[in-house]
Amino acid sequence: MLGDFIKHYLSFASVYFFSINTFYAVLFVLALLSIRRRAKLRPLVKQMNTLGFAPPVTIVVPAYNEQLSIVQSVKALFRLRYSQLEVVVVNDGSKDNTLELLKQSCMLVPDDTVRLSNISASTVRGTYRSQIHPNLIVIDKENSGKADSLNVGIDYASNDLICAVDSDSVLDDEALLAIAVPFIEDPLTVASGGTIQIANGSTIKNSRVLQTEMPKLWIERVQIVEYIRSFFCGRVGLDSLRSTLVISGAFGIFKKEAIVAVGGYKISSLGEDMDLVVRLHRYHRENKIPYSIVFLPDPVCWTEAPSDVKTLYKQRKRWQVGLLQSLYQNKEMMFNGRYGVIGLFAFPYNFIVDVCGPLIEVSAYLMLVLGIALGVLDPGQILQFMLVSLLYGMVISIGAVVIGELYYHRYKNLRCIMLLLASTVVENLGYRQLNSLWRVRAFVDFFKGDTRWGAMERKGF
Amino acid sequence: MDVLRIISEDRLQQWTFFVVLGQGLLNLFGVGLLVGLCFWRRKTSKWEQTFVPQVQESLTLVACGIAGADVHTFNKHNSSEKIKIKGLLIPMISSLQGEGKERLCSLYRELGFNAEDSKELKHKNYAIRLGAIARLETISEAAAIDQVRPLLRDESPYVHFAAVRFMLKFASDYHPKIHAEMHLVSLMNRYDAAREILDCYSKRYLDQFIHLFETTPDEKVRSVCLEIIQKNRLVDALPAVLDKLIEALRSEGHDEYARFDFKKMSQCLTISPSDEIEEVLTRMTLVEDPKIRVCGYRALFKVRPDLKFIMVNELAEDQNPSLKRLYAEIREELAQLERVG
Repeated sequence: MLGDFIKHYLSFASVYFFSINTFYAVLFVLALLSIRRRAKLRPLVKQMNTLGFAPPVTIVVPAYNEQLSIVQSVKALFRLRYSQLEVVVVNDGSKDNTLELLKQSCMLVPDDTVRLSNISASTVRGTYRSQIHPNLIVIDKENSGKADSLNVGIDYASNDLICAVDSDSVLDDEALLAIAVPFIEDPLTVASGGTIQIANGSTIKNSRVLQTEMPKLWIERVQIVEYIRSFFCGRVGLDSLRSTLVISGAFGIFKKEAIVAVGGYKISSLGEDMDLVVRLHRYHRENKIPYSIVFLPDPVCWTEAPSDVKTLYKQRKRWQVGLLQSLYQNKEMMFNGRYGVIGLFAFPYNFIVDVCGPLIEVSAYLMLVLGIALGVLDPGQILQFMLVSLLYGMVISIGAVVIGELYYHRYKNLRCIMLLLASTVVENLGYRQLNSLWRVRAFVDFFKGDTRWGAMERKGF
Repeated sequence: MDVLRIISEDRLQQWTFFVVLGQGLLNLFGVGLLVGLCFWRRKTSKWEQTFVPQVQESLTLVACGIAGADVHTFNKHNSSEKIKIKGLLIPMISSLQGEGKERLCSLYRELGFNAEDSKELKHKNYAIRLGAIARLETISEAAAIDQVRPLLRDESPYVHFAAVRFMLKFASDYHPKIHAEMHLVSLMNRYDAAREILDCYSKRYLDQFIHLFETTPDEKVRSVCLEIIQKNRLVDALPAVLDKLIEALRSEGHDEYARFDFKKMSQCLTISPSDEIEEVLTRMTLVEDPKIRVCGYRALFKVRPDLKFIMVNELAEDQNPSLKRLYAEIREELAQLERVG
């Protein structure tokens, strides 16, 4: 009886994972077509500044205790190839010298910058403007978290487009130009997201990635493959189906008008980036306002990935809880035709793949162990199944690496390519299982009501 | 042999074998492609490292007039090398002025790149059309007017804006319907495009530009006009700006008061001060709204720096934080002067 149940459950799990991987293969083809199409727009990106058609953008940088990197980060933003740029740094009640360092290095003077909207209710202690960069505004306020800091920055932004950037992220020179293209192509665009890549191990100088290299630790290497697969295959493919639900908080452009209409970033959410995009979809669909939300493969923002298991666990738990919060708080959208492709496809897809997937995977491993222990499963067949799964997963991962290298060419030497390829195998030997386990744990925590952020430890570039 | 026997007998094993084989081959293909790409890129990179400096040197010599533009030598290059040369020529031309620019533009034309650009004006991809207009504008290709003219009706507003700018620069017979253009700008909320167009327009049709400033109902367009007046130092437009500022000051207490861009208007007037301008700026320092008073003081101190020291006591009595800040700045300046001497 139990033996039959185990066999049937594992058959179900096999069909589930085969279907998911096949859908990934479809996304891979869609991503390839989309990237080919976007590659044709590259000449435009190079000439946008010359043409004077780069729409004015305000970059909002929330900063909390960033004394080690804030000055470099701000200077790097002003070195970006973008003609009409305003930078709003929001000092989120830092306890270190973040504000003092900015005051000294950027020659800040008190300024009567006008607050143009009121998404945030936070009181501002003071506003400053740089005498070196007249387009740099620094806002000093009490500590209220990242989401609220972004809202305050948006309130002070004078341009129609807002770019949210993490203060420890590094942007490619043309990243901002590339991410602004959808707003030129289609005036109905309300949000555009860019690719995030991992900079661990790469050579970074003056907040610029000079040489991309593979990091020393396998835990960082497998995350690189994971990011490449997730962005170049998953998100770009989903974008082709107009089903973008996540624009990373580390790098995305939004129309200010649209953010204000939905009330800005939600302070209580752990996944404030996904939450904002979901609410933008919801608002536009409910009010029947035509809109477009785009995800692009080419603009690149470099970020630091966790290099130890504890920090990685905290990050993944936060992501998973954020996803669950967004899906739960907008559950009315699920299978609801009123929300078009978002309700009928994107929401169910995220639920089936990202919520059910880890639960099915972890339970399948338990059944496997139980089945072998009870002697109801043939180890030879299990090995064959594992081999098929491993190779199928590798086809998708290697495919994503091929797309990345074919069109964006990040890793210059053969050693890096070989390490990337090796990581496509290594990620299946423990990392993937651990990740699923963490997501199940997050699921449990979410239902227990434990939605703490958890401090992230970063080494810094 | 046993393995082969099992595979040939068991249907499930057959399927598994072919699936594994297929996946393995796909993976191998991917690995091969990546390794091949890596070697090809290494080769290309080496070629670029030698080719680019060579071409840049040759182009610099041509620009300086040290060497003649040897079209024959440049023409010997294959098509991918020519694309690279074109890519190097454009930024060099944009960064130069005068004879050097002219020489490189001639080379660009002699190599037939302008003809390629003219062809690309008809390309179905708007990004390529836009790029072609930008390059033709960079080399000041007035001969392309007839090819660019149809793009004034282009479906892409950006190609249209680029075409308007090109025609304003090079077509002497072109006179855009500027109010209609600004209406389009306003509909698309792209005042950056307005800045580009009005910059060229003000150089060609100053009177009409001033008329637009005086009559446009769009405050944002007016604001762009003020930026251009200040940037291009259009002294002839100052009476219109002064009139607008007087009109704005008169509207104190009315709804439209808040819509005027006092800061830009007052700063514009500083490019060529006169007694009348000074008088109006002084009136600005007496209005109720502190933000406008600050604008007035700052503009006034720009045209008459000596007034800072005369009006410092007057400022000291003002309790508004912005004016207190201005007062502190002047005190700091005075203290510095005292320290120096």
